Amino acid sequence: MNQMIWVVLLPFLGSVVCLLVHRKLVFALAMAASLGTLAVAAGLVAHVWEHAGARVELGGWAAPLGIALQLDGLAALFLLLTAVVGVLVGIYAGSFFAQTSELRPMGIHFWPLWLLLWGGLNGVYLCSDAFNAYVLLEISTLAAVGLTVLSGSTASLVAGLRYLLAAMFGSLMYLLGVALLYAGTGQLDFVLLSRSLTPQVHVVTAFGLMVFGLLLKSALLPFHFWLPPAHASAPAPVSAILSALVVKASFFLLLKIWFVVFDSLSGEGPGKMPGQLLGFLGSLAVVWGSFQAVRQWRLKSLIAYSTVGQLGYLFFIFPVLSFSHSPPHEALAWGGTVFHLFSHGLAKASLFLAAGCLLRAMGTDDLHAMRDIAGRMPVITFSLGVAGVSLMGLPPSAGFVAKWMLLRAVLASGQWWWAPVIVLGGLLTAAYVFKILAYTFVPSQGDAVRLQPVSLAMTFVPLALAMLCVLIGFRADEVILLLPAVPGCEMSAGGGGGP
Amino acid sequence: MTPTRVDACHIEGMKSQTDSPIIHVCARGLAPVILIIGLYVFFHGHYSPGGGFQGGVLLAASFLLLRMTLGTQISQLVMPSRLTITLSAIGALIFAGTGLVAIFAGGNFLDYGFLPVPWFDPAYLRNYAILFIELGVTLTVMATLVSIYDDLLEA
Repeated sequence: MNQMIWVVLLPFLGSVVCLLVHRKLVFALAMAASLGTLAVAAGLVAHVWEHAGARVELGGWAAPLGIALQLDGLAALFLLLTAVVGVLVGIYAGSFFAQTSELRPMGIHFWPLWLLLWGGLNGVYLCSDAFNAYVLLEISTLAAVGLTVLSGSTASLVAGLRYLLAAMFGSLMYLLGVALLYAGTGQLDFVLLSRSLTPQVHVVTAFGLMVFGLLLKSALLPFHFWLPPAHASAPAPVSAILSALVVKASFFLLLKIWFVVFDSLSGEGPGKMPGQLLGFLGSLAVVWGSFQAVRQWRLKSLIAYSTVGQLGYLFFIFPVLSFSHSPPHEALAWGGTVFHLFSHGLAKASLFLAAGCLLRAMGTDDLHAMRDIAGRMPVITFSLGVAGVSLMGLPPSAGFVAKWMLLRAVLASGQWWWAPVIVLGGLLTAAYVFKILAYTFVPSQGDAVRLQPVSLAMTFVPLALAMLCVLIGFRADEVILLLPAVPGCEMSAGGGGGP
Repeated sequence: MTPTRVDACHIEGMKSQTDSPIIHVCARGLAPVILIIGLYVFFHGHYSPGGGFQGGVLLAASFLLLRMTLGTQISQLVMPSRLTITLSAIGALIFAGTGLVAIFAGGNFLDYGFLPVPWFDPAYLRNYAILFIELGVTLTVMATLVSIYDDLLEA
């Protein structure tokens, strides 16, 4: 299973080699590394499909001494999402950063940072060690901050610094929790930790600190303050990466911490309360984020606030699964959450890339200026519409499958009070998607804005992402089958052959 | 005016950071000593306290001392700014490359016993392979710290 090492190592190697080669070769080399990573990630998904999970002990040292990589269905799906979005955003970025002489030097820095970020993300998905998860999460955060400030404008520097401080604080809280756990149990491996935890004061404190740190990094409502400025001020390919992938990595770690490491704590008794609290914050995020998105007049801020709202849906899994240990609606809740991750990742990447095209063509992303865009840039408008359909959750898109499964899981768990929030969030999403689309159809009054030409790759990549997002709605069965039972149960039951 | 100061300040009109001859002489005396201590710490990393990171930081400290006292331009002769990023990439490649060679030779990542260097005793092979990846760490840490300092000055 050396493939698991390659999927982390290839982006890191690509990133380092990008710093060494001539600037004309950087794009070709980075694309080669991206395609290689995609191929390896696809191989890993096929492996999970055929033989369930796998575990690799790095350097031949078993878990209490060494560090292990653990592959399961959830990790494989995240790897695949990252690789698909990564390759498509890479194609877009290749022509985005070649547009003007101002953007070209940014492109030189974009590739090493993005590949570093990618390697970090893949590492977070695979690593089975609390401390290394921290290190890899830090790598991806620092690279993401570097990408945010790529343009060097004052707005992006302010947003980037705010992002850096918030994310750093979150990481340190997580690290504090890891230190407490290590002092208490002497273990760092997820599987070994989950076996040795008992509800004591330091364990509960560590749980609180780690969850708090990861919530801060995944921008759940009261901690979302850093996200909209950072995502709105970055260049388009960067916004797409940040919004589709980076916030999901800390959410992935949260899932692992909650359902693997602290499974015995969060499932019963006092564990109900934090689950309900996360569900409450998630529902606030859905309503408040979507409402703020409806109020925005700049396209990129609107999409950034929509991220805050859509991320809220992910947190319904915590209350739904916190009432009983392995309820019958478990598969539904996992399927819905993972599908939402996929559909949101693809749709949001498509929206940000389309917004980048519009910004390039019109020179502004003010909604008022988007007159008569539908007639003059039909492909971009169509991508906006298709991605919007998936965000709203209209059939047959992936967004519909996700929200439908979430709704059924919520009702099956008997917690009906989350259902109206899911429906209301869908309506608010429809409101802001139609707000965008409505302005593209307004005919121009006499003096139409002159549009700059947009390259073919930049036009069709958002469309490809949006189409993928709809098409994946037809392949729901495969995705659900890839999540054999629940990742948490599978790993704590045997750990794919522990040490 | 001492000869030292003339050397530092009047080469092609380059201005140094400070005019004090005491600081110049002290820094020029101290920097090589820090450099040697850095190398010493680096060479001891694999069997006693020390190692690539600490050694790299000490090497960087010696270069940064020269940057701060003699000025950025003169200290280019010791550590050129345009080389720093390349050096740090090479250091990372040394580390990753050692691991890769072990994979290609049939072992795990960084499994030093599998490195194809047959004339070494296995125990010594592991010993020197760790020293070799510490070389990569040292280069990367040193070059990155210098490059961060240069970037801060530029801004």
